[in-house]
Amino acid sequence: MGTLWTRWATRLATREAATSLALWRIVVGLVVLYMVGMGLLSDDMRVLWLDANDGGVRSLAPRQWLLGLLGGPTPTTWAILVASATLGALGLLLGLMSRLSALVALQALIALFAIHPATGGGHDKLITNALYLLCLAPAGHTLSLDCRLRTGSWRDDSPVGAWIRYLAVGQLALMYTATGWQKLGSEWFPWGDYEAVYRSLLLPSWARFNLVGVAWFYPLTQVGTAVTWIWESTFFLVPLTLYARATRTRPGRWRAIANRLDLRSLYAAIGLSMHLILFVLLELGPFSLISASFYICLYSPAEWQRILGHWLPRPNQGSNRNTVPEPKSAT
Amino acid sequence: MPTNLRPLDHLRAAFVLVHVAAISLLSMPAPVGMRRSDLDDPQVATALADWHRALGLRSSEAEFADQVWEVGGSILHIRKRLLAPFERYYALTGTRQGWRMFGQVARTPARFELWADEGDGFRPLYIAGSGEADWQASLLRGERFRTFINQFSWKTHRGAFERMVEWLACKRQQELPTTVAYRARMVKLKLPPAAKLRETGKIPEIGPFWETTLQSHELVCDGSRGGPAEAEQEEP
Repeated sequence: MGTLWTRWATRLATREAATSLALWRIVVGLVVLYMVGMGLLSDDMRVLWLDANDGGVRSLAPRQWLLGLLGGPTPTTWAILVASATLGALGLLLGLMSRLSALVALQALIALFAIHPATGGGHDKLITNALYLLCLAPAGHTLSLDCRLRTGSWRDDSPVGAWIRYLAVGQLALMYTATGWQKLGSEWFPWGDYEAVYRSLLLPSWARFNLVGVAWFYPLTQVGTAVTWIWESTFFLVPLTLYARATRTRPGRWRAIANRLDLRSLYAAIGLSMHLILFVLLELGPFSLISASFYICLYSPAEWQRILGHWLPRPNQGSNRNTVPEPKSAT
Repeated sequence: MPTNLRPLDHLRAAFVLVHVAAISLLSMPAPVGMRRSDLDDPQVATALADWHRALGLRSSEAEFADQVWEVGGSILHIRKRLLAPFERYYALTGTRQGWRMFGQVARTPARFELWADEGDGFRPLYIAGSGEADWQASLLRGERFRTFINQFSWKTHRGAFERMVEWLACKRQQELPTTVAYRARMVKLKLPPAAKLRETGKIPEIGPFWETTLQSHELVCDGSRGGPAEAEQEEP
């Protein structure tokens, strides 16, 4: 048990550059701004989150502590919370007092979502989970205004704790695995003719367009159904793969396979494709966007620096002195 | 990787362990919000029958449904006790989990319709998915409003439905005070097999439910009829 605990604590004490976290911070900020923007544009955020006495659709009596402190779901409370969420998101985007920005956006959105939970969805939970992790993360350490003010440069590759990135990967895997295991309708299985995706695209609640033409692509939707279920239900393999790659010097057949085959990228490719299709064909709010943001954390800072190359600003000369060199295929 | 662990490293490890345990417990599949009568819903009953057949069980379908209900109830009971210590943590940190998404895709979904009589008979104002009847489409097709309406597809929260209809009617009445009456309903559809849909190009209607008619002089548009305030609660 002692060895297990030591390995656990040692792995969580790993340090790396903050590039992945910073990129994730920026995208989460954009996603929150998108969500607020779309809600204001359609006006559904206002009419569904105000009490009937203030022009809202129905009477509301939420019991959330911050709402109580602010006087309930009144127009003033609504405006304060929406403005706070927006400012917090801007702070994340620019990397200004990132942890505080995340905290402000987090508490504002927790309160807003609590006004009328029947109008929320999985994306609300994913967004607040992301913001919580960003409260804990040194995501403003690089690629941020904070970095610029602190060092004179936009980029600082000095190492920070990697454990938040690991938690983000874990959260993504947990979401997919849990949703996969709860897809129990027969339409997800052979005895239901793999009809799930076909039906989903025809649901009047979610379809963006009249998609009766999907009937001509039925076999494709059946493949999509099977792939989706398998992919989601086995997504827990992704963090296991990443662990195997990070401990490549240890023996084991699974470890050898995981280091030869980048399962993570296969899962990411399927996931991003699926989310793109969902975003185009169904109106699911910011779900695809916030889910996709977590994929940033699947790749290490060194990998992102290789992928983005010249697109990233030059690092501060001083920050390289303290950089922990990463093994060749570290994840 | 560091080799000498400091007290902070142990603290971090403990925190992460507790956090992961908390969110994992909450993510585990659980039939939250289900009622016994839900198992009698045709769609749920069909799904259970499919599973009964696929598993090749010797018990009857009714016995299987009862067993499912009992097991579900036990899971919920144990889950509630395990989650109790973490409730405050979830509420303050926004780490609530709930990943039941498209777990069961309805074969008979429902569509919202709003009609208005401006003195010459009822004509459609808004029909979900329609290109022509698209009054207030940008609002009603907003993602949160879709989510709000979607709950009515499962024949739950009728009071909220009635309130929404009156609210929409009041909105229209402000634009066109000469409107005489409004009619709203949820229309059940039956998604046909792909071969049938290719042949007909149409999704057949089974019929309406919750049909509501409001005369314009009966409308109460000052918000006082917002319905009983339901204290909204997150799923445990």
